Amino acid sequence: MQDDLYEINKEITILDVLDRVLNKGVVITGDIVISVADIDLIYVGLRVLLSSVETMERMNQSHQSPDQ
Amino acid sequence: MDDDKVLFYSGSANEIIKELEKIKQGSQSRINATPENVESGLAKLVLTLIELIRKLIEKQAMRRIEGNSLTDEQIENLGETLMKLENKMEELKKIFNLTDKDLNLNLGPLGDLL
Amino acid sequence: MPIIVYAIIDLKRIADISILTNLLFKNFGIHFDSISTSDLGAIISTGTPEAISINRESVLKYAAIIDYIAQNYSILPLRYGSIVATVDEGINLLVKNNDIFLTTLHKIYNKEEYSIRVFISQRHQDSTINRPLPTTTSNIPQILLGTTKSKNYLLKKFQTHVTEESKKAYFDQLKSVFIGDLQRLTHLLDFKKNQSPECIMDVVLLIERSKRADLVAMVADMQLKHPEHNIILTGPWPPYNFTQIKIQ
Repeated sequence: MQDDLYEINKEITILDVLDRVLNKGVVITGDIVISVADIDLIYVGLRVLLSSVETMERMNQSHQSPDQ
Repeated sequence: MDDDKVLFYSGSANEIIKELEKIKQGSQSRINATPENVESGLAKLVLTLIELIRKLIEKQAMRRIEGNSLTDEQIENLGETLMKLENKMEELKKIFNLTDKDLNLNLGPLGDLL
Repeated sequence: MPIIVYAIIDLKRIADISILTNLLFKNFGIHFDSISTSDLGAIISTGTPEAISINRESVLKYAAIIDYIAQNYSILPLRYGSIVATVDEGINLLVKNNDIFLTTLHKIYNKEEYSIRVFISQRHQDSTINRPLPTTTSNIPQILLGTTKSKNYLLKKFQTHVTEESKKAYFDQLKSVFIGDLQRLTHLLDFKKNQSPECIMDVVLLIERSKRADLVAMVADMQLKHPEHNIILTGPWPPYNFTQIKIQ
């Protein structure tokens, strides 16, 4: 199904993007990183990943159609 | 950015989805630390380490067998010891209600522990 | 005033950084700016609580901005959450880390990152390498021949061990074939540890922009030669995996 293919490609792309932008690249650590609006930025990556994984699971559930 | 950075892929949709699941699971298992599961987390950690050591000993034993450097008596002792270790491990897993899957820590970029 | 940092660029490689910030504004509707030292520049924007919120949309937008810049320039991408308290601190960052930034920028100049995952379907595995080896007395080590409990136990373990070793050898051999092909295009390869038993290879690579078509052709060729494997190629990406620098 053309639709399925598109969805899968999108999922793969999102997984790959998130892995990169949340876990790789140049990291500023230490005193320079500040909290904005009392949000500890070190946790930003983790929490965002959590919510994105939930979204992906929901996407996946809509994938589980019988005879595929 | 494009929604689609996939330049090439092969395989059935089902297989790709299965692979995605595994990658997702990999990233998930690292963020499950909450105060509630810290305790069982400790048991998991300890047992994982024991399991790692047990597997290493088993591997070492296989190498010795391959190398043909063991006597009959040594083989008997080895077999008995490994059996006891494995049984003990099963007991501990039951006590703490942990499965083999639970004990396989994902170390992120280093892959799975076991 | 906190600032969000998106990318770091070699000033020698860009004629006028304000052209870039203007383009970014046109494309994303956010006011971008730049800070610079004599050698390096950084693309920034003013941080507001909304812009740094904890949701997937913000992260993907941040990534899209970096991706857009990277399409035409060689940059060091910053990880999401890269915030500096003031412009002065930002400049300080560039000064303090001048050397590593310049060296890395040189390494990635005019190159793009790609990801290749090769995996073998369970079905194929079961019909080939997972088939239990026939047990004859010739392939049982002498010392395990016998009927004691210990010997039987060890024999079972040994058979599993042999199967695993041959599986590993099979994978290693396959992997080296793929690697051989890849090395013709680049030596900047980074292998990830396998996420699953079906995954033979998970690698990110950095290649010259001009070699994109060669890479796709090579992967398609790999697939033809090994139809029992599944391959996923993604890219081009900003060089995240080759710019993992931790700085204070």
